[in-house]
Amino acid sequence: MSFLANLGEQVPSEFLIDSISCLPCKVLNIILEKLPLFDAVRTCVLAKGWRYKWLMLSKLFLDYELISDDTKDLKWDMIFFVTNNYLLNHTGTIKTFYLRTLCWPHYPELYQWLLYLSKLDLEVLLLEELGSQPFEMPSYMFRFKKLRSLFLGNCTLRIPSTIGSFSTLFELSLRDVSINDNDLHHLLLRCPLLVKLTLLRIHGLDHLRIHSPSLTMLEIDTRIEDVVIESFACLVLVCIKNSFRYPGMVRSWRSVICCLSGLDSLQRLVLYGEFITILAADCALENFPLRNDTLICLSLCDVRFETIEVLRIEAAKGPKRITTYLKEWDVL
Amino acid sequence: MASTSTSTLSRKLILKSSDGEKFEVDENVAMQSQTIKHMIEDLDDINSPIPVSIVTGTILSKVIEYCKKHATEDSDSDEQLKQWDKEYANNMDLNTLYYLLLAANYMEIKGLLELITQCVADMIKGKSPEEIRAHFNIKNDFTPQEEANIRNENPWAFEN
Repeated sequence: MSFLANLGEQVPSEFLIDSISCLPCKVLNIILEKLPLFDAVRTCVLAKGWRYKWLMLSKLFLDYELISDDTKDLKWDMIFFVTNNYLLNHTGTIKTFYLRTLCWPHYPELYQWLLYLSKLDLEVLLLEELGSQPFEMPSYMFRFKKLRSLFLGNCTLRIPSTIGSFSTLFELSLRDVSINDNDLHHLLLRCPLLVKLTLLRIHGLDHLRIHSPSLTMLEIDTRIEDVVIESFACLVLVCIKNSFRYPGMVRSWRSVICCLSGLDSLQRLVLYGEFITILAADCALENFPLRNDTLICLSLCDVRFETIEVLRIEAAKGPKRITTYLKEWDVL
Repeated sequence: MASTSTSTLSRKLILKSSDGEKFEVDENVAMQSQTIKHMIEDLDDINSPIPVSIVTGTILSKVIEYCKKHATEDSDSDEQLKQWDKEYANNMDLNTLYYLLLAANYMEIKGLLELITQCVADMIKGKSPEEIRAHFNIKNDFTPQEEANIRNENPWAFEN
């Protein structure tokens, strides 16, 4: 306290030499976390007191595309080395693990890291494979007991029948993931607190059934053939994107628009071209008008002009703001 | 006195620095600090000066300048506030930044802590270890051999 009592007083320059090194761990950690990982790692050579400071980082952010080196093998070596070094020697708690990389054919290493991480109190996990070969999410994924956010890109998911759940998970994002109807349904049932769900380019999924009472944000694409929202009391934002890879499929979207117009707390609706085309062709919005008087913003994105002349939207009070790229549109 | 305000709704508090300087501030300005907020919750008499004995008047006046700017919800847009933050941080020398960091951490002023840590991080970003040492006056206490060993352990981090 005697040291603190002198804060801001004139101090001999000798004392200033170590001013940044003397910062409380918590403050230094905040600074290191704001640096790109390699800048943070480089601080280990500044002085003896800095040797292990980067290993206290609670977040590991590694992105293959942000490594400037251009050879593939060297990039993987760097990722392999820094991840191993961090996981082996870290001195604090690890809260966030963010890894976007070209990992294949090194999946055994990845699975080992995951197994290790699953024993810690990890809160945020992002894994994305940048190559064409998806990884398989191991069955021990349910061992992550404190996970709050899970982002998976380019993987295969099989949900084990053994008991396990993400009891604290509030955000789930799957992109380019293979999972079948049943497995996804069971996965969602095991996330009782889910607030935010993103499902884009999901392979093997035809019928999406959502029963998540606390869900407020939903983002999907038209790759899915049919959507049934069984419990939708809280949904505030719904976004339905294009799925360019599978255009022109016949889908049972009438039920979706029924669902949408029945959402009691919907504030923001974002629709993309493919879905709007389907709706317009089916006169869906005329037959099942959006009567949500809670709607604040309706965004119509990426609309294909040649396919639609008039899109009719009926809303009880009308959204306060409409962004659109349509030739003609009217709101009743 | 560093502060006078036209607001009649807000109560006034007196903050006293380690060197005895007193600052009269609106309650909502002082409440930007979680530490002070918790302190006054437990105080019966808010008219007596609240000791903020870890900072000198010079630093405390800077802290109050930040808190006043961020306590008023007037016409400033987010963009203007960001610009103000930037100029505020850029006008500080290293020594002041250091004490501001300690003060923001101790007084639990989240926005100020974010601002100054970002400012320091920007100073480190992209610099070589030699440049960082020079900038912050960090004394390299490794022997040349020890330093070479550490660099060899992490060759990918020291290539450029």
